[in-house]
Amino acid sequence: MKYTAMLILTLTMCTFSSQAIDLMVVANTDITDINVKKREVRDIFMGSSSQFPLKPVALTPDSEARLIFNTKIVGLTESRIQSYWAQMRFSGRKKPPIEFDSVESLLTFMINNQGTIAYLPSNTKLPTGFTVIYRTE
Amino acid sequence: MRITVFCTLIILSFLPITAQADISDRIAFSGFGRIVGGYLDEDSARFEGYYNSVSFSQQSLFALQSDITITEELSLSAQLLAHSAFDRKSGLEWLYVNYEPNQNWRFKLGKLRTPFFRYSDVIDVGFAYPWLTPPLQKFSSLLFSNYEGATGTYRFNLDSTNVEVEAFYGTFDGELTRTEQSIKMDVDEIKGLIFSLTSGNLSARVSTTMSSDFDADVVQFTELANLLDFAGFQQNAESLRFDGDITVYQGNINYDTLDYFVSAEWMKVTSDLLVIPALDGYYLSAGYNFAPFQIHLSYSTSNSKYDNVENLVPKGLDPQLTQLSFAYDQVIDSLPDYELDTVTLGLRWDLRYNISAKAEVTFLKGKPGKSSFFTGITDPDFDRKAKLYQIGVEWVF
Repeated sequence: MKYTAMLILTLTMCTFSSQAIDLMVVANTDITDINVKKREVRDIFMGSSSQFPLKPVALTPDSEARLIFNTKIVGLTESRIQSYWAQMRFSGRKKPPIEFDSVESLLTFMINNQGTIAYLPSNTKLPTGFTVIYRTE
Repeated sequence: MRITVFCTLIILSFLPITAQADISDRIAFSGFGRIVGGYLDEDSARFEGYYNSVSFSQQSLFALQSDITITEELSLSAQLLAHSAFDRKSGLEWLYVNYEPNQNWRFKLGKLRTPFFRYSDVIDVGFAYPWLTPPLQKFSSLLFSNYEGATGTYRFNLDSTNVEVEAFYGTFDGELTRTEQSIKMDVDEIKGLIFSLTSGNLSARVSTTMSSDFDADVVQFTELANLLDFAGFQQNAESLRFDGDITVYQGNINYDTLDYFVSAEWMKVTSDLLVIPALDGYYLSAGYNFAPFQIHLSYSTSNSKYDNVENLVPKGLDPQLTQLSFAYDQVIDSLPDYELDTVTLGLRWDLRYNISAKAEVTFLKGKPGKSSFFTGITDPDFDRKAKLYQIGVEWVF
């Protein structure tokens, strides 16, 4: 009974947690009138060709924002995404986005590298000059 | 070989430049490994090196890859691999220069993996696929796994579909493994085309690989061919030589979601070489995800057929010709067959985002009287049915 209660509590927390965060996709770019669709965001972060010359950067696999991005945008488990990148990297086709273990370090990198794009919790305070190009619902 | 040397020279010539820049930013190391153990519940044959005792030495390996960024568009990659199997050489697996002038074009030059099937170019990276032994992996070892040459890829969007068209050309100089025997082989021309489509979680690929101008060193074939030639039976002599073409056709489709995946792959090999038969086969696979686990079930089937010629050497007229005729029959009869049906049930457990544990059982059903990928058959009544149990750990870093 105790374990059942713990399991329900854990599941409830997980459900609450993944519903609590909305994401925004931001870019450090001069182009301000970009409006992308969900599929285009997915393509950019999975290394497919895109009309937008933006370089994706990402948070590490243990971040909650990444879990939500995988679920809502990519539609694959982290394990499947890692398998995909293993196939791409070791066959010399594509390289995965550079990863950062905190929002702060990711933003610092983006500030210094124009043309980068990342997904972040929607309540993140953005540096000036960044453009929000997509929001999860 | 010349291309490998060329790539090495490029690396050496650019090293001073990379050294002047911040070298730690320009060189990236990554790698992968796997420890795989297997047991075959049959004591009268072996399968893919496994027998009725637990063995960890057939598929275990470790690889280290270095990627050196020269400029934004130009990079060099090398992959060193240490393999536990006796029929796989350890050493330099990949070495190539990569040039991407823009996001639409990519060119590679060097020693590359031959991309016959969906997972051929990452067959050693077990972390990339659900199985411990992918259903069509057996056929990769019959063919040349790598080549030296060049490949060009063009990527573009067609509405909501990403399209990749890849063409490659090269040569092969190495060894093939056939029924646990190594055959030294040169192939002067390998060329192929690959079309890949991705739309959301649906992806598909069709490819063709053609190879010709073979030069193989199989002593028993060469000596017999010379004797047949000398006796005036050119047609039978030619059948033992490697003057012909091999064409591999492949197609696959797969759909992945958060909860499940389904995939299918088909392949057909046409050959007019005696050492490599015409082959066809396919697999169907489906899996269910319940993080951190994935359970999957696969069915595969394969058939083979040799392009044999009629034995024109008469028996009973002359003792030497009769002996020659029987020798030719013996060579033809000893050619291995690849008729096999398999059902694989597997479980993958993602211990960490880059480490997986796997377990699978494969039910093997060959054709009685044929080799069906089994080797070292000691009991003539062996029914070509067995179960292969495997466990393993796969990782990338």
